[in-house]
Amino acid sequence: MSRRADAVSFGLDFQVNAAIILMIENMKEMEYIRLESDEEDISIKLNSGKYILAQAKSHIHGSYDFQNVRKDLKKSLTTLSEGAKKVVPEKLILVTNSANPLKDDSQPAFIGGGKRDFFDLPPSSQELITNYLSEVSNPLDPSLLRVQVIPFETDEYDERYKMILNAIKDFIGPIRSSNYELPVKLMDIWRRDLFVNGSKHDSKLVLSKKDVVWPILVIISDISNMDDDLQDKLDMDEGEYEEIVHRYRDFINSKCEKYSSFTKVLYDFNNFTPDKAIPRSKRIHAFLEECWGNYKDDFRLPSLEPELQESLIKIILYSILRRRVELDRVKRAVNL
Amino acid sequence: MIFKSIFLKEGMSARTINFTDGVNLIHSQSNSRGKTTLLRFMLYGLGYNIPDTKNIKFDRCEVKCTVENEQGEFVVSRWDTDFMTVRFKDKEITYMLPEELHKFHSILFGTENADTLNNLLGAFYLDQEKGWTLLNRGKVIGSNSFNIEELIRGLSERNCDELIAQKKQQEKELSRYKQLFNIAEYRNKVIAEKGSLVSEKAESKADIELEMLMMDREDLEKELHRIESAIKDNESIAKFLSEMKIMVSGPNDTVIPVTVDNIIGFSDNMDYLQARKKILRSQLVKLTRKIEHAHKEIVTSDEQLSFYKSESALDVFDLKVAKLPIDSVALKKQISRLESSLRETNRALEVATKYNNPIITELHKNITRYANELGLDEFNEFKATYLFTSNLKELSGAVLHKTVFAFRLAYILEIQKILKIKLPIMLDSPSGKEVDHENVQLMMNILQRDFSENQIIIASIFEYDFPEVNVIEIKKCLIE
Repeated sequence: MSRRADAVSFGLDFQVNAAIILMIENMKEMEYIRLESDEEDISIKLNSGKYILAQAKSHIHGSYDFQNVRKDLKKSLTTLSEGAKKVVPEKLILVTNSANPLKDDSQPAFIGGGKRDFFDLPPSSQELITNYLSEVSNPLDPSLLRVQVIPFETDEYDERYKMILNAIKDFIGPIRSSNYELPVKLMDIWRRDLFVNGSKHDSKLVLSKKDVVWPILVIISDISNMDDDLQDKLDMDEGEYEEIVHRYRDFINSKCEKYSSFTKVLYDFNNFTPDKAIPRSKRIHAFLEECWGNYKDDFRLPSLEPELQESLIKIILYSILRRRVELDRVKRAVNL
Repeated sequence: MIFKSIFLKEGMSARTINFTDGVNLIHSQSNSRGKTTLLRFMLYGLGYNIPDTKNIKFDRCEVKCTVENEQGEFVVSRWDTDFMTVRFKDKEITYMLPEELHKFHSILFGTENADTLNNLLGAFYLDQEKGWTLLNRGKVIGSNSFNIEELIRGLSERNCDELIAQKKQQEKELSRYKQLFNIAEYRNKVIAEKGSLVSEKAESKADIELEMLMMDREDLEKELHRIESAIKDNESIAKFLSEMKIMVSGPNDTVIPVTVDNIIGFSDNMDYLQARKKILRSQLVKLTRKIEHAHKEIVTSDEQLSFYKSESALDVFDLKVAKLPIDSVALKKQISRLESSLRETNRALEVATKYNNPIITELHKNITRYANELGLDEFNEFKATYLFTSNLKELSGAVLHKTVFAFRLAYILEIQKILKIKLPIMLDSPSGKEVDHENVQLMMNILQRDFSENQIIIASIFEYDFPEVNVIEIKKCLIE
């Protein structure tokens, strides 16, 4: 691959990953995100109607090669100023992987990443930016400007994406921390979706918050990701549990996915009054124990031995209820 | 049934030939004049699929054949091998061939039983080539076969369709397993001879990897299908709800229409399914790319291997055969299992056909009678089971010729008795090479005595001693 092609694909990769971080930071207020929009490299529309516009600038050796950073800064200020004229901006960001994006030796470098709004930058940096902006017609409002540095370097997967993965981990922490595969899976999905989005010619094609959030729900409510949790809750023998989940995975999933089955379970659960007073956290467990027999006709699998029938029904009921709970939790967490 | 006449037209030449109810001799002074062709035209005129002769292509000729049975006269016209038209009592019907041949023959021969209809030709027509060696099973002419078991089942109305289908299926499977077994044996030989090179390849990492990828893809496709079906189901419920226009009472006397938007969980579930579908699709695309890549790698490594290690296509073939995951021991077991099931099916079929069947007794009685009359000493202690013999090697020359004749006459008698019809008897060259004049006369005596009410059509260069014979003379060629 030529150096030019290398730099282009590296730049695109950085842009996509920077978009993930900006998207996570603004998830609660985000309406949609678009890469390569009419306004900027990254464009996030907020529920308020305002936009966050970001210009992404990457350098293959961002931690020590600052040769082109000033040139990039100047260009970024020009394009951000132009973008700001097209929409109402909430924030205008120069997002880069350069550890010294202004090549300003008087300021501590952005080692390990970080972000600074214009007025938090050292006076020398502010002066530099102001000088550049004076050459731009209708320049942007400096109070909206932010410089954000995301370490992103080397060809080593773990090293290059560590900041992105950490950001995803922090984001999903409150939602669900036990699923150790979730951050990587989610990063792969988001990277792919954003990359595809950026490659679409029609800039009206955006990724809505729904598009971004639903994959989380899909991953965490997958029956195979619920394994440990489910097995403990149902108090089942490991062998029995394994057998049912792996042999009847399709059957369980199809019951959880069809409206005709899950609506009945949700309705029954909402109207469920346990025999004795129990804490809220034990309600699902009590429902499974007391009510599983009511679903013998709905979730019966004739080929299954009668003694495993009860466990199968409980797994289906648990999966439906658990999915509902997870769904509400995630939707609340991201304000969907 | 009798033939009344036949009109033949080829190009600008045409000829009409009339037949009488009794004995008709198609005669020429020398061979290769068109006697056999005329007999074949007559069968073609009945709708049978008959192969062309050396000089005449049937589909280039126009044939109009008039036949008669107890119900009346039928005029059959054929211009093409794919259909025929039949005029009967001022109505004209077109039959597609061979699909609708039985429809016409059921009227002509008075039975709808397919087993019987399939085997009539083999009873009343003796072809000059194969006819005189066809005893109880085999080709009559072209694609028309004869099978004694089938005829007996047809005449006795014993339906064995299920058993026959089962037998065919078992035979088919057995033949495939045997072929597979041969390959397995060949594979074992290749591995034994070429040793590690091929066996290592047989279990190469790339192959296993590819197999696993394929399994993953299969799982993904299954899951995708399930999700799509769930989406479809849910959509139809949504449509149903919107069409029902259900309203519920809300607080303060408000009325709330029930829609998918206010049903708890509905939209969420649909969003969930759509997101899952999208993820699965993209996984599928990724996996398909990986599979293509793995395929390419295997092909490349095979090519490289064949380039470096082998010099011929045969060697490359051996490598590929060695990679096939087939086990000759398991195949052998399967083959013997199938053979045993086939034996059981055959036994069941035999019982269903032969057990307590008076038709067999009658056939046996008539064959014995005619065999004795024709001087076949071999049949003095002839058992009924011999009707179904597969061993024709012990019969040869004149003995076989006369035996065949006796069998055929017995079939005709039985068919005529049960269907209450008369069949024509069509003999092509009854004076075979090894049959002397005396024997031929014995055969003709039987025809004259026992089949005087049948139309007899003989094609020969000889003349026969019958009181009344309609001689159809062919001079240079059939259609002059």
